[in-house]
Amino acid sequence: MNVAEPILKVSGLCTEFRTIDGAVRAVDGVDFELYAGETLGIVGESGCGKSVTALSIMQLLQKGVGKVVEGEILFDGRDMLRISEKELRDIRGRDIAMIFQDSMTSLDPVFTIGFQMSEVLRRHKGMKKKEAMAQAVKLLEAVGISRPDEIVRSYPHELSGGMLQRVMIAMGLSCDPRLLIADEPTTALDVTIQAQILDLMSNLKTEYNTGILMITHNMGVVAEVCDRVLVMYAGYVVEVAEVKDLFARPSHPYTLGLLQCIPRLDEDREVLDTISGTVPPPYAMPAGCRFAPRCPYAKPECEASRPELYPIGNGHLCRCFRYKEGTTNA
Amino acid sequence: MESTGKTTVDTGAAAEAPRHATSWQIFCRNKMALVGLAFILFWVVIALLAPYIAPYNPLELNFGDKLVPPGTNGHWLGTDQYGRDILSRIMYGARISIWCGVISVGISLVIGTTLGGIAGYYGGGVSMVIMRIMDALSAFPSLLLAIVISTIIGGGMVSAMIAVGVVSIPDYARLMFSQTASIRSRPYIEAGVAVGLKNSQLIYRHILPNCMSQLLVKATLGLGSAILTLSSLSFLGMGVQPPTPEWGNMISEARSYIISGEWWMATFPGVAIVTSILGFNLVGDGVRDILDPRNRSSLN
Repeated sequence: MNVAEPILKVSGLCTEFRTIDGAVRAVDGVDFELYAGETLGIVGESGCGKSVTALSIMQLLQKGVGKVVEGEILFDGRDMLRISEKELRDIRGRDIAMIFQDSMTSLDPVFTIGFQMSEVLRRHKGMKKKEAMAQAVKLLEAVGISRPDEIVRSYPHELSGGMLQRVMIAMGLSCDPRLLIADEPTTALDVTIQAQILDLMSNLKTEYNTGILMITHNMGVVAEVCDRVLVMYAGYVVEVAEVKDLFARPSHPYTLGLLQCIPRLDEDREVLDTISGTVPPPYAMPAGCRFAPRCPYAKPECEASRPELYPIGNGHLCRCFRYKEGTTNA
Repeated sequence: MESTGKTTVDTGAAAEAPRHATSWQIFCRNKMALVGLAFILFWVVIALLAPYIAPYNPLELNFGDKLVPPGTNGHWLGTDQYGRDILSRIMYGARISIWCGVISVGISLVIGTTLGGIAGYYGGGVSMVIMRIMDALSAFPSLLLAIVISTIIGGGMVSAMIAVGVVSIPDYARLMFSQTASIRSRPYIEAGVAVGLKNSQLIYRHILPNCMSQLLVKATLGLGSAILTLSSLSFLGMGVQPPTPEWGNMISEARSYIISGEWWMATFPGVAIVTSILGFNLVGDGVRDILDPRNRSSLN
């Protein structure tokens, strides 16, 4: 798989937000590659910059507030930061589709599902109204909606969250995108629907060979669908690994902490594990390792200088001094 | 909302059956809206047919029959101080009053919505400039501003319509601005950007329809106040000039006769204004029901 060119290559991405206290760096040097037919997960807690990374790729940051200040986003060899507004509009929805977290509010309440789906088809495929409607019915059927010919005539408020998320996925896939960015697609859904939606996404990935960027805070979702995982903390990547490798030997103390937070069935306990402390605010980032203040293994060295991503074998990278070459493993 | 479940269960039977109530069905559910529609149709028909159904020439003076009460000598609604037939004058007045109201609301609706929409969508410097101009406009008392405008562009009916239209531009601009600014940041607009829609498509196809119900309520209420402002302008001698029959004009002429007992001179044009304004307001409510997709769910 790695012989092929990646469809998405992000290098050194830095995104800043303008605030009254000056520029705040929400994403600070993120690199990754995504290949066709692969699902890359980005995991991290709220505010770690995972959604901002997605918005930066799509160039959906609010103008005048958020801005990519450094780095390169190559989609299909084209620099997303340099292409014209018109090219960008052609790519959005056709080559890169995005699924948002809150499907309930991501559809316009005054139009029917069919109208909104056909709008995309008419925009990107030049279909006529009738043709687009017929296609919308087929797409809804493909994502497992029963009675699709009725659903196309429904308004968003008449459908449940799970159905709307299917509609969003159908809409995202309507133009056979090469890349699907899913920003917490299952967070607002209950677990049974979650499993169905994840199943659906996996099937579609193999069927259409779409690359999926899955943004989530849920380790269960990661284990279910991802091929590779990027763990983010406070705006940068702390660990990269194949999904099996990550669960087999989580290496960064933060990843370890995240996994320990998941309650296990075979344990009997009253209080769940947490990672003590909080994420440092973006305007007061520690100079050294950003996780150091919360890290159980922190040494003076960690606070003094910033660790790099050190390879620990099998393509597994970890941003922790404990894995720096020449350092004895803790 | 309880109807939602019902619709989804019921429709299994016939795929051909309409899934949603039609606009007309929703409108008919609101009985008051039908009453309003009747009022409007009544006045539109009167206005159109005035030359054929008016019993007298509205400008014809008849000093023998001046100030006669309703029902005298074939003057169903009485006559004014020059013996002109009130009923005929109201019928002809409908043409001017309703027409002027619609035009001036149209002017402020179109210009105000465009300006407010642009300001709300693009924000930043653009909105600063537009909205501060709107603030400046609304700092003047509206009647005073209307007088200034109609004096500048010369008296008469057309300038009065423009003046009344311009005066209420800030109201529509402000409403549209606040609506657009809030809808702009909703996820479905972001989702629209994410599927590659242009700014113009987002504004016309997604933001405007979502503001429509508020705009409509505002416009139908505005129609009433436009007719009233026009009447006030006529009353002050700036708008429609006598002897042209116009409802506001008629009331202003009647003011000195109210105390002396000739109540019919002011009352009947007043009733005409009230019923036409009421008609537009009620229809506005009905149209707002149509625009809310929640009302489409149930078929009965």
